[in-house]
Amino acid sequence: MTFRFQIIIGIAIVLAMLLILWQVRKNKLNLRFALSWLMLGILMMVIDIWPNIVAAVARALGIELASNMLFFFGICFILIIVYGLTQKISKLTDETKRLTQEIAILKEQITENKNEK
Amino acid sequence: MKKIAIIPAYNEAGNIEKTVNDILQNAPEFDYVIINDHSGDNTLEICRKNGFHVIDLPVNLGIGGGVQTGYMYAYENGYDYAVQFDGDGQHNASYLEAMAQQMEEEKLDMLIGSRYITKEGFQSTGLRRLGIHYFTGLIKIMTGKKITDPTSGMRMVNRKVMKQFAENYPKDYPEPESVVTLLKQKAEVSELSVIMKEREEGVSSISSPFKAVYYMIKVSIAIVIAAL
Repeated sequence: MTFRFQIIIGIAIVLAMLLILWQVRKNKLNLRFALSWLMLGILMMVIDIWPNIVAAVARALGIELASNMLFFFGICFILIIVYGLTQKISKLTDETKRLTQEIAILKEQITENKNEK
Repeated sequence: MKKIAIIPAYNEAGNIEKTVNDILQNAPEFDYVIINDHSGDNTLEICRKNGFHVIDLPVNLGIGGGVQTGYMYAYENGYDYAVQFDGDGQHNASYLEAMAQQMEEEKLDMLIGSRYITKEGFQSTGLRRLGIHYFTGLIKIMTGKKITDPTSGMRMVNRKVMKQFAENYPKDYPEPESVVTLLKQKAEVSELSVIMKEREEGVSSISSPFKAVYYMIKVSIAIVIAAL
């Protein structure tokens, strides 16, 4: 990896992280959900500055190609995030359902009260 | 004894008047409540025009969420028995009194109206019937009990089950799964032979081969999970 490319990647990571922080500040993103992405940004920054870490870790784990290791862990990370989102959507669906039901029952009560008067 | 019929209705403009009149005439001891599951047709207008008792869901929840709303309502309003009575005109209100009587006499938790005990009336179409018998077999394996019509939408429950369903009820295709959950809790579940009609208007929720496959897989897994 050339020094020039390291700089380009470094700038891209900083911009991405600034964007995330900006969205948190604008209340468009919950900090809770942004945290994993910020952590990933920091990790990528570390690798960008000291790329030799990757090769060393790959060697230590017995993985021949460092790039394979990056793909592997990258995909694992994405799977974990996607699973978390699935979980979250399930919960949101249940919560929306409950709210919908409460609203519908309240609406019915209001109509019934009006009819009685 | 306070008794109520829960009528889930999604795009049932062509059937809803008949269904409600059936209850008013043939099950006068029963109150009823229509759960309009955010129908796209004029089901709601028809209900309002006739002064029917309706709970109108502001977003579409599907059959499970709709019926569950009915159980919530029935439980909160102190009903002793609640029966699901489909808004598509397939069910026959003249059985409701007999169902309530059997519930009381046998101290049942759930009583299912079954098409397959005396095998009279509309028996559903070939493939569907095969699917239903498959679920009967699967439930028998998983719980040891034979339920001849586990997909029947006509089912009466007592307050205990009402409360449980109000808290927790499957989202889509809930019938077989909820029966298994009850059987696993050693609840008293029984069946009564009924005659059903073929739906006259509207479409079934399982309308394409793709949905049928999804239905079979989803319900099978749900039954196995519920039985564990």
